[in-house]
Amino acid sequence: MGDGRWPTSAKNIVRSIKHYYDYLIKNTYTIERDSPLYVKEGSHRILIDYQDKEKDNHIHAFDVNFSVIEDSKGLLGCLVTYEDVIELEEMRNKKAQYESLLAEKELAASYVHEIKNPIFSIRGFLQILQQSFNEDDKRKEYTDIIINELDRMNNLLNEFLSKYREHTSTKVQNDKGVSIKLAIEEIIAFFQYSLELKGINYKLDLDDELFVSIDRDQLMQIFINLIQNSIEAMKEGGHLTIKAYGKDDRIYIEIKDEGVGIKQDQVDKIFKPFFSTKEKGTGLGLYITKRIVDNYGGSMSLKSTEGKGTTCYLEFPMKS
Amino acid sequence: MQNNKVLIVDDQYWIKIMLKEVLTNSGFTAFVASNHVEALEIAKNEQPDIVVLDVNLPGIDGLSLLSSLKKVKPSIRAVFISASSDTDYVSRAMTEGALGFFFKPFDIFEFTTFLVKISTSGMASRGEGKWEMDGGPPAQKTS
Repeated sequence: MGDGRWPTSAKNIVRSIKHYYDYLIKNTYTIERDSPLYVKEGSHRILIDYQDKEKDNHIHAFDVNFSVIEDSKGLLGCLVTYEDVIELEEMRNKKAQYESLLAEKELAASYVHEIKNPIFSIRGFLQILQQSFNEDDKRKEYTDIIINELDRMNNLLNEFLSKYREHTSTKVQNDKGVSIKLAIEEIIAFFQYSLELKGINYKLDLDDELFVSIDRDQLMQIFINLIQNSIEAMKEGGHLTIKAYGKDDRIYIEIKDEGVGIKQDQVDKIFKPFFSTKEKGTGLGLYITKRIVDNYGGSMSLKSTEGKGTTCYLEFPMKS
Repeated sequence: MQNNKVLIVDDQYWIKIMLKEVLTNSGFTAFVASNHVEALEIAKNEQPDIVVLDVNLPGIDGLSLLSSLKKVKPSIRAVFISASSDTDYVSRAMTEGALGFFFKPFDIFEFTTFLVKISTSGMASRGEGKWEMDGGPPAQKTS
């Protein structure tokens, strides 16, 4: 129910308000109880109980303002304006909730950044220090452990931040949905230097008109996880091929690498939480990726040959 | 090594010192600045070939500083470093000509390998490459 104004004569104020509310409310709501209205010029808050058919019982409050319109001969009428304050308050509450969540996220993010800076200087100086140790020096081993532990701290910080991201990321996308092609191209640009450093050639074969109804950040997360896995698996370089095409309202994506591959008995376990084939893996990457894909009505599978490479198959419903 | 002058801009004291140390060890001549005033001053006097830019600097962001630096030295190549992982900022930086983006904490030897690579290969920044090829401003990314 919105705001409104209508002119009425002094005698009719009470009846009109009631009538007007009846009129407005009767289409959607049933009034359970109505308090008699006695009005004077000025501002009033009027409470009306009514039942919302879609929600539960609601008490709605209206701020009603009465202004008397007079001329030299006396009273002409009265202008009544009203505003549904409950609706307004609900909106304000929701906004305040969202804003405080955002503020909390900002605060969490700035703490995380402040912690990452010293982690980085510690890690950097340790790497410099390590150069003066021989391979068999115990101090080399110890500093390796410190560096691994710092990386673990950093992973925990990232997981902590991504929790906030899940809660605050906007679910609203444009009408078209998110473009698979643009998302993959963006991620490849992001990994450009890792690809170059490792001597990986990539080939993209992506149809233009593939849109999926998904949160953009989560889609990026999926591709970041998968492409990073491929890059890490291709220690000796090789080819990375990414294909995306549409068929019968489904989108099919294939990410194929020529990396170390996964042992056959490990392929089945690969989506389980805390399972990792990587020395420094958290074992959460593929687990989280699969969960996001499943949430959006998609599916995901892997085929791998040890020593030859891995292909990851993704399937999404196309945004109609 | 050619093109070996590097300007490091980061307001974190020890990060600046650490990066200067590791780059100097790899044969670079490194300069450090903790804000945009110092950075522009060094850029004028030393004409660095590469700038390593922190995204969050006091009172200014890395990309804005980069455009000021490009007025002083148009051919300067930029590598960004950041403690935050804002993907939108990364894609903006990459479209506006950054050659690389490293998230703190990163492996400093991978970082120096990357800098050695861009300083020896004469790899132009993407923005410049576009300018040379098209003779016009870089194409706007459609989104």
